[in-house]
Amino acid sequence: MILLWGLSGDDPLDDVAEALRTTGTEFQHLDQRSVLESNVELAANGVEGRVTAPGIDLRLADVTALYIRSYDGRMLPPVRAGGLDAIAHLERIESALWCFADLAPIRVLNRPSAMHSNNSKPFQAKLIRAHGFDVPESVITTDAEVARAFWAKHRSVIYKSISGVRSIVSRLTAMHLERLADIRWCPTQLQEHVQGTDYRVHVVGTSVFATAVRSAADDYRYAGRQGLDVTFEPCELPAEIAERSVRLAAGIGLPLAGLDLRHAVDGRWYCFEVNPSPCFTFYEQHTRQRMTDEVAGYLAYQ
Amino acid sequence: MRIVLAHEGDQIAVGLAAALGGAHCMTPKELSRAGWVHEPTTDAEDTLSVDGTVVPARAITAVITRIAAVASSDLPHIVEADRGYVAAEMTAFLLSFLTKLACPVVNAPSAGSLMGPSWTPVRWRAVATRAGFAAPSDPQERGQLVVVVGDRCVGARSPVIEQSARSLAKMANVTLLGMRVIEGDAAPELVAVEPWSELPPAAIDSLDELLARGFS
Repeated sequence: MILLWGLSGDDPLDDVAEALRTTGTEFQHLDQRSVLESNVELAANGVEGRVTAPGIDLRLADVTALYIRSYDGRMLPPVRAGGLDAIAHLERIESALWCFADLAPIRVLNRPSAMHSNNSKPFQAKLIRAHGFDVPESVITTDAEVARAFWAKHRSVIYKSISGVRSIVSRLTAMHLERLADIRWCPTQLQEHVQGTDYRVHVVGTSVFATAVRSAADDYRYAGRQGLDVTFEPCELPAEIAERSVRLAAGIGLPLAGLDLRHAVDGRWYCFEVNPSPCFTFYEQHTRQRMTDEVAGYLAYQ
Repeated sequence: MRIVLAHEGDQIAVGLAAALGGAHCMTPKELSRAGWVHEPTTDAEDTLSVDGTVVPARAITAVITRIAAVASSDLPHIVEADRGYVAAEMTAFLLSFLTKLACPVVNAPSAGSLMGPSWTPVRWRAVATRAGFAAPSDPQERGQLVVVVGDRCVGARSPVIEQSARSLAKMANVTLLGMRVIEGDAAPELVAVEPWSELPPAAIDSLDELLARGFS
């Protein structure tokens, strides 16, 4: 039995569910929206127990694969309305499922302990570099003079958040120099701007799906805000880069990963980030690459 | 220079810093000072700001971490609307900064925590069963404090407890681990893991010695 854990209405989760349904593969969807009507009893060993929820009564021993697309449960309306008791119930369920997901000898997309590296981009950059990709030169500092020197050295510099909090990648301009002293309040990352073509690469097990992203925006996710276009085209990576992508995802412990690559004009391949819970359906809608089927197949593999 | 990284108002950390030969007790507030420079993927030497003085990373001989993550409550000097974001950024910064240091960091950060693994009590209990601990027969009982420090174990009243405590520390891949244990009839019982408890003098001495020899 495959267990899907997350919100109904979430595209990757819904699409994988539909793919499993189409192939007649047994699955259950533990919907986060029903968290207050759900329960997880976990044995002391962390891998045995039972999940109950509306329409679900499942022994954890019968779970063969788990796909996690959970969101911050504290933001769910019933939890917010339920006060401390609701939060305590949510935490009991999440704590049990996170433990099971890390320890159970089954296929998990992805194990929680492996997903943490994305919460520190510079920490993850070290892992990325260790697997053979280039990473842009970066400095994280509270020192305005150091920031100025970095800007003077590279001339074209971007700044962005280093935590899991999403931010818009932006180019540092002369206008920012007036406010540069403010970085003393919080270590701030500056990164050399690398010119080239963006590739979003999804790894599912050992399968690779590459999408070329063409846009003049500093951050193609927000191209519309700059009044710029963005196009997505399915493509093939050089074999060596595809293999490196698989090795990197596996090295971080992520059978499912979304890699942000850039093929620089000097020929080098940079990797900016490895997303541990990629919204691959967004790219699939543009390119018709069959990632959902691949994810469903990975989960169904016996 | 030794550093004890702690939350604001952590008096146990202040005491520990004093007991470790006058280590500097650093709180996240100190990250809001000019002087921090970190290049995550180069060999360039980082710098940090200690009490307003810029110090090269090589001057740090050991770090003891007592924070899993920077909390909003650590940052009263940041405007309220930005505290959550700044706390997340500082946590991300510290993870990268600490893992680049050449000196011992106790406990070494993991991707999910600045002080060892980011395990919930449920996960600790699951791993503890594999280390030979049973669940507590009386959840109200506080138990005795047992502390594993490197290859030493302080406070264990039996070889079985010592063995299980060492096994748990090894499975968690940590150098320093405090836990509350009940002797138990059939097997030692783990009441709780206590990463923030006050260390007994013998454990501090062991830690001091361990840091002095650089884990060798």
